[in-house]
Amino acid sequence: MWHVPGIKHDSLGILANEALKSVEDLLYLAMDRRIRLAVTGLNQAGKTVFITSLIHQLLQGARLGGLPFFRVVAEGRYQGAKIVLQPNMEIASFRYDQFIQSLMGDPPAWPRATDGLSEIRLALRFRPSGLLRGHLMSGTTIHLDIIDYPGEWLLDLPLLGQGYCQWSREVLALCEQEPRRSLAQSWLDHLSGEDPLQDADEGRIRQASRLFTEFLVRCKEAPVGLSFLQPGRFLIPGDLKDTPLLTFCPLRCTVESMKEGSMLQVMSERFESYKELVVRRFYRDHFSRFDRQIVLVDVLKGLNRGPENFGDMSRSLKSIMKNFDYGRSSLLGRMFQPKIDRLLFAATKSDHVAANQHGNMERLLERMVMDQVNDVSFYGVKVESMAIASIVSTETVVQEHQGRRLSFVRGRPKGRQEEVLLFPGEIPETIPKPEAWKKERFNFLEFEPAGSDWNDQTSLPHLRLDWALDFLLGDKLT
Amino acid sequence: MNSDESWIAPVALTVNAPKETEVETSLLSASPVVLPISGERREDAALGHEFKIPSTPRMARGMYGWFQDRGAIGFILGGLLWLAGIFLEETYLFLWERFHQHWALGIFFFVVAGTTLVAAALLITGEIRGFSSLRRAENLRLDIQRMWERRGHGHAVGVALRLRETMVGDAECESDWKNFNNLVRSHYDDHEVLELLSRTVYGRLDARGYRLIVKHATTMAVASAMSPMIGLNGLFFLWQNLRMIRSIACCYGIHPGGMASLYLTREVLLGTFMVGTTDLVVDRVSDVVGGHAASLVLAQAGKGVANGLFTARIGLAAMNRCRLVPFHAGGEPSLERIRVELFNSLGGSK
Repeated sequence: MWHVPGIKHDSLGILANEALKSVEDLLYLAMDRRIRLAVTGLNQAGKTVFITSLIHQLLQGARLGGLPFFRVVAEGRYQGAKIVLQPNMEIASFRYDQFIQSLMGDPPAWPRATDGLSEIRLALRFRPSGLLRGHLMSGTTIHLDIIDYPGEWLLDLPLLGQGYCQWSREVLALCEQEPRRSLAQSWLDHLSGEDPLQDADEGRIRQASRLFTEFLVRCKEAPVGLSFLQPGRFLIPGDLKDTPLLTFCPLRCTVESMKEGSMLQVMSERFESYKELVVRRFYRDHFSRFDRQIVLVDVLKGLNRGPENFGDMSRSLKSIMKNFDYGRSSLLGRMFQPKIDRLLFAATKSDHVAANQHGNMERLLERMVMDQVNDVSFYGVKVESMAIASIVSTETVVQEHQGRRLSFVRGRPKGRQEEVLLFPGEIPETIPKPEAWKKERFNFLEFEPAGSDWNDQTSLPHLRLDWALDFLLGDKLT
Repeated sequence: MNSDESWIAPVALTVNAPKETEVETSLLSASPVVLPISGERREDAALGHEFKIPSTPRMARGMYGWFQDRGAIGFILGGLLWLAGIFLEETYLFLWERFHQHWALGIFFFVVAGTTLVAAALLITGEIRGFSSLRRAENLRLDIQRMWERRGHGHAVGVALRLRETMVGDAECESDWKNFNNLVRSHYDDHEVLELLSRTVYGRLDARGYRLIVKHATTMAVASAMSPMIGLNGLFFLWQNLRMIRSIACCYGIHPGGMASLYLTREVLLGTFMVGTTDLVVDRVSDVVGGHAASLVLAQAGKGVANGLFTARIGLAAMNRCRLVPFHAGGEPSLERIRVELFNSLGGSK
């Protein structure tokens, strides 16, 4: 047994293991046998449910006929999947077992909102499709890495390209318009009594930061439910709560007016530290090496909450997407600097409207993300959009109503005990003009999971998850 | 965005309506119903209206369509009736004379004429049936094509019922229909229902189609390799391809008569030459060059392989033409698959 002075055997073992894992990872990448899927979406867009359902379908649904449009399954080449050890030991594991239990529990419940980072790796085994490879190889394994995180954190990524003053100006400009203006009143009143160039005082900084955080929380809460809220960690701080990193707020400033030891300078320094120590690390470790991306958009929530919220959602999406690398990767590029070469926009929770509205939902989503689609298509990225439901909690029902045959949905709305039959209204094909948002014109309800007959022997009902999987992973499973 | 007049406010009702899935399941097990596919607008279909828009223009239907479009079919039928009248009159006079000559002679010719008339009537009825089967299939194919592209909702299940009608009694397909029935969901749009149909029920029909193509192409290849006469070879080629096209049509639920088969063959050949001209030229050139090279070694075998592959190419065009539901992505028929199977079967026959 060899020995290196000064280094314990245990450490050497860990190092060797790490090196082996890195080599293995590189090999998988070189052979195009690893996919990092970016599940992107604003808060409450349905990321956790999507990931849970996706894992469930790959583990169980495929065997039970739940993925008829996933080509590798339809062709009978899919051999199975299993959860394997995740690559990063410092990140919490995605609690698939807990989430699935909660969905299949009595009463069934949606997973609670995500408040931290978690990761999962799936090994998918399949028989290659080529004549020669299909005969020579009994099966091939591919790794699928997915991370889950609070959607609020995603909106921090655009901060990387901004300075403190630029960010402050943007936030203050947004606060000049409703609904932010009235929600930010107490914080703005406080700021009007503050001189940014006065000497820094921790108590005053804390108070300003607290008022700003309260403003952000009010913006996030229903019925306002805005999306473009930065910094995201102010809403879900995790273990950074009450640290100086999260104790700052925008101030009226210019770079020239920065004065040593002033409130403005301290706030600016904390903002920069936040960017470097929180956002950049988050980006570098988790968001810079994706191969495929799905952007989940809760179009119905946007419609429900009015034109301001809808515009806010579009702005957030646009801003988030600037932070990903899009394009086609060569062999070396795939190993060392992968890029996203397939992008799927998915309108989630489409089971909350009748099936005949899904086409409109897709078209509305396409309108929402038209600019982003143009941008990424330029780099050769394949883009699609579809209306999906990770888990279907309603049924489409046809019923006569006032002499017209209408498509209703049947399900149990959130917070109610009884099922209702709901005609949820129609979804516009294009982005409605502000005057079209009449009172109650868009009132799409959320539904509880209908899990009374879900069990280990059934696959969770979904809507077009198989199409989504085929688009995102299909070409890698040939 | 729909106008304000057509907007219906969201409403919640008591739970007593039938599930759409139940409706569809019962439809699938009950007798077929014909849904208003042509002329129903998607947006209004969502509200239960039947809003008529101009139907999809039908594809050119050759001379039959030309006459029908110009109202000349009545004229032709009238002419045919007139000819039939003359024929009947002449027959009647002929039989009258024979009976006058001798009663036995009269009975003999009466039986001959009667048999001929019955055979002709049966033949004509069969042909009319064949043409109407072809025409129904053509209309259905166009409707399906439209649904495939428009991605509406709620019409494709009705079409599935009509397609199932064409496969009644096919025990093998029954299990596929059951599978389709289990997999279809109420929220699927028309494209998804048809794609599911393509992957489940039509997968088996495709496999049968491939087997037919391989069988006929192999026969053609072997016969060409053995035949010393070019003329005989040509006739055999025509006959074999006619039979193959008709078999493939039957496999997909179309039952053309003799004349309708000729019409279908013309359409298939047009498809072969027009749709895939480049592909065909490349295939043909490479096959013939291959055949020529092979002919230096085994001249007859090379010719057989070339003719077999050409027959296979026609078979693929026939599959394309006769399959009422479009091929799903990745399921398109390819010459490569036929080529491999053809060479395998040739190898097996040696």
